[in-house]
Amino acid sequence: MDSLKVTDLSFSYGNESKVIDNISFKIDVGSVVSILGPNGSGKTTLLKLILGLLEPQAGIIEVFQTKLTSLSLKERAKKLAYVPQKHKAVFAYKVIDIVAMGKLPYSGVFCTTSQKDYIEAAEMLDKMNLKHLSERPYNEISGGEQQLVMICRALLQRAEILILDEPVTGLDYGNQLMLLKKLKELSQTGITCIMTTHYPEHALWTSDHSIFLKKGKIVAGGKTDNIITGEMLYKLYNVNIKIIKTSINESNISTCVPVI
Amino acid sequence: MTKRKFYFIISGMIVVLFIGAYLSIHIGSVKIPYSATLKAFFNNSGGNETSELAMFETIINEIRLPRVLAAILCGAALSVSGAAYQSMFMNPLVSPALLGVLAGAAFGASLGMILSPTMLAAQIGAFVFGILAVVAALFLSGFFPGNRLVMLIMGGVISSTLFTSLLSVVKYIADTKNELPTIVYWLMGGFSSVTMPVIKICGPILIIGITFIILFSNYLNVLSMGDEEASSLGVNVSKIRNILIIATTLCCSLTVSIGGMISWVGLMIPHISRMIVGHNNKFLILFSALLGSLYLLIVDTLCRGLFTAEIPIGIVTSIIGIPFFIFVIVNTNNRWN
Repeated sequence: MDSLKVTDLSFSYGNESKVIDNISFKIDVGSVVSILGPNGSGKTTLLKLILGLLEPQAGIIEVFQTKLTSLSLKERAKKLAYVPQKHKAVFAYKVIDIVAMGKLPYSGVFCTTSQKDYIEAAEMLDKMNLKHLSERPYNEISGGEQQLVMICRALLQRAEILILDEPVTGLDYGNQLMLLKKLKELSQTGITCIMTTHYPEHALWTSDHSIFLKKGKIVAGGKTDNIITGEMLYKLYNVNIKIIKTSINESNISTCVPVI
Repeated sequence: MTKRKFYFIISGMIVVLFIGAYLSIHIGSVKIPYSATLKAFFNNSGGNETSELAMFETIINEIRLPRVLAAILCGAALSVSGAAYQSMFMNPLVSPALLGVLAGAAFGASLGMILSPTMLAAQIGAFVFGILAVVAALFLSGFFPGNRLVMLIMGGVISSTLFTSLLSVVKYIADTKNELPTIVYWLMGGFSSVTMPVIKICGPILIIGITFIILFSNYLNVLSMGDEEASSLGVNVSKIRNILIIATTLCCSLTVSIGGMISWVGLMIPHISRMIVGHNNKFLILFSALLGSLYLLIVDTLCRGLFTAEIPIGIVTSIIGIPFFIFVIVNTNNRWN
């Protein structure tokens, strides 16, 4: 079953040339999909279109067989959750307050969060092993923890699709791997994860499928192991990269080695 | 902070505010005995009062009570507007003046003063031009492509500058013997000219505006995380922001109509409130409203009680505001981004 289906999608900012140029793809339920491409290739714009933050000039986006445009903002938020790039909140909200925001799509006219919402937020933090951060100011926890808190909020939204914009950018190596592992675990529970990344090896480690974007067009899409090749990476980034396949503890692992 | 603790603090503040208001009524150039106040409030004399009691009644009902109510309402309005603007525009240094409401209202009031000798013209002018300045900022922001929030601020800067320039024009053409001193004194802020009819007209609108901001305070947390995040959480950002801008604009233009330019309250009170109840707007807005009321009530009482001649309230709020703001910056522990 498709969790997301994009058909003939095009978008441009004002009268400028197309940032997204007639692209189509489908994403299965419970898969991890990486969107790769050089800077300015349209990765973030594509995510914003999927989230409904931008209005496409042409094309259709369907979420679980329902057109995105036919869903209200709250209905969208119940199906699609957004994990933004590493950022700092302007005000030092407590972690629990940030996570409880995940219940907003289910709130009434005045957007109130109840005691029950806070209990659910605390339970979600506990489930993600982040209970100890609950009362800490969000601004004062590490970048990796902030991203996990954002994922926690997204999970409280009970959305079946997580949209992550460069989730590991700015994180140290340990936090990067911890986050990628968490995404794999989430996909095993049936949650679809769509992320943009600048790291092909991250796609190799975590993603079932990958999409390569260049100048707003899909240059390749399919099973990650099949499409991430040295030639494809050269085509995309104009650098020589070798894909090394190895086996550790009976599982096959591929990684990228730049040839400098 | 737990809800129970918060509402305990709020209840305490309401009690303190009532006591403060009661005490404030007795302070001024004419000393009023406490017994006279209750009689005046409940009109127990029924027209058979002594001449002294009648005088106290007049002072209380026509002078002291309106200005106490004005201080309470304006303090709450400016504080909740400031707190709302800081969250809405994701900037802890923002005050309600951001979109030009105060500049517009100052121009409107001064224009009213040179066109008509009555204060009513100045009050209506302040209200109308305060709203017009924000409408101009919103209209101008629509011309610029790009980030909506940044463009709103740009529109506000243009509108503020325009109305500040127009205010200078009005000052320049004003009669230097009467009109100019009146304009300058008005711009310093004060509740000395507040009457009960003004409170009866402006009070309900202010209460509605403040209530709206309090009711929508939960949206402010998510708006302060940025438009994209708020939208992705199912919030109609432009609709909610416009509702809040309308409510804050109504509140701020009315405060200028009632008491002239009272600076720093909208910036200072939300920061003190953040230090006490934290950043969650669910608690912050209501707390700011009460703290702002209490603050302006105390300052106004000092302004008329400290010396024989009344000090304009805007001067006092600025004098207190500047060192306080330095204290706030020093004590934020780099928590602002």
